[in-house]
Amino acid sequence: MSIAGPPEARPADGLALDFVVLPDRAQLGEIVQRVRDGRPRNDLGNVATLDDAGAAVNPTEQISGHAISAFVREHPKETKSEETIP
Amino acid sequence: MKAIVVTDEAAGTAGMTLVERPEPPAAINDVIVQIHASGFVPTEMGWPSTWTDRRGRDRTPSIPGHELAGVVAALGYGTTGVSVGQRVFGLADWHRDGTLAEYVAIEARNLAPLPGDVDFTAGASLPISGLTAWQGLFDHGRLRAGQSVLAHGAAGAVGTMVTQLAREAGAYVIGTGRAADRQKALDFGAQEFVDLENDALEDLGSVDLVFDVIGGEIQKRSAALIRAGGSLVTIVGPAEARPANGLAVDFVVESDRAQLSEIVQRVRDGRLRTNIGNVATLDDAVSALNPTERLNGKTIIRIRP
Repeated sequence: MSIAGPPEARPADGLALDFVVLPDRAQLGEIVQRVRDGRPRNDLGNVATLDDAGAAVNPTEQISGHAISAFVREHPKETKSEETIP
Repeated sequence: MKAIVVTDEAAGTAGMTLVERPEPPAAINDVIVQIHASGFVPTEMGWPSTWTDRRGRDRTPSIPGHELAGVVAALGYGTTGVSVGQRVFGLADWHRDGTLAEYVAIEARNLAPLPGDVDFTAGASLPISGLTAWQGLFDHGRLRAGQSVLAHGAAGAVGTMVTQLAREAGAYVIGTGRAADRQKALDFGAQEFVDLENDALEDLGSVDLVFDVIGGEIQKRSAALIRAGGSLVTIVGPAEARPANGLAVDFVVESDRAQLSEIVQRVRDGRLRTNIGNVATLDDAVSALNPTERLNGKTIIRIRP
């Protein structure tokens, strides 16, 4: 299963698939419920404001927190308004 | 490719012209479908999405018609779930060029497989009317067996689907329309019929769900008939009336692969009949979509013979 474009290799006796993620309300509901339950944990590396987003998404050193490199919080008091910048 | 385009909102369907257009490129998650049959609803001419993109910029010349049945010709980057050569049908994005053309670019999630024993003409007639009925009755109206449904326009494209799906779900269906629609509404399964020009809606007593395709005064009078806990479901914009102790929901139909598959399965096994009045070629589409008299059933354009 690849998210890096059409697979360059195929399993000898299996499927090779590549895909681009789609939004899915039911799956988002499943995922956030798991976060509420503590599985999986968030893996946030950095949180920045929109004003600092340019620098935050162009880090000069590797961010720990591999999947998500930066968050922009437009309204710091409202945690629900966080947006991810993949 | 050959396509019907519109450029002038004021001209409506009369402004349709058959022209040569470039074939559409496939974006991420897109499918290029070679269209065999296309469906069009006249209300498209009044929707902003026919004339502007999501940012409000002019997108004319615009290809109308958003229902389709055809064969997958190519896949875009990352597209899964369908394969080249597969028969498909579905509902195209309102803001993108539509299906009165030889090819369309459409996101894969807006398509479902079209079984080999359902012809393209039938497939192209189902998406808008079938999904609208399904979503109005079950997603928004929460219809349950034993409830009663007031189905306005019961002989129309949406109404015939509403009537059949509601009956199958175990509801009691009262259809409405003009006097000339009575027999057709009853043939599609309505258990009673109200002639809106000569009968009084108020004589019906109460109902659980009103499926409104008319709006205005009929909508207001219908809302007053709804039992506590019932629903007014409308497809003509924000509801102007609310049931005293019930829900008022307006919605715009969305494509849904699972629901398309449920609908086409019902056509295969005879639980659902299509409502097609006229079939024309793409060359004759402009005149077919500008009829001079009231049609009995939906017009489908066969893009390929």
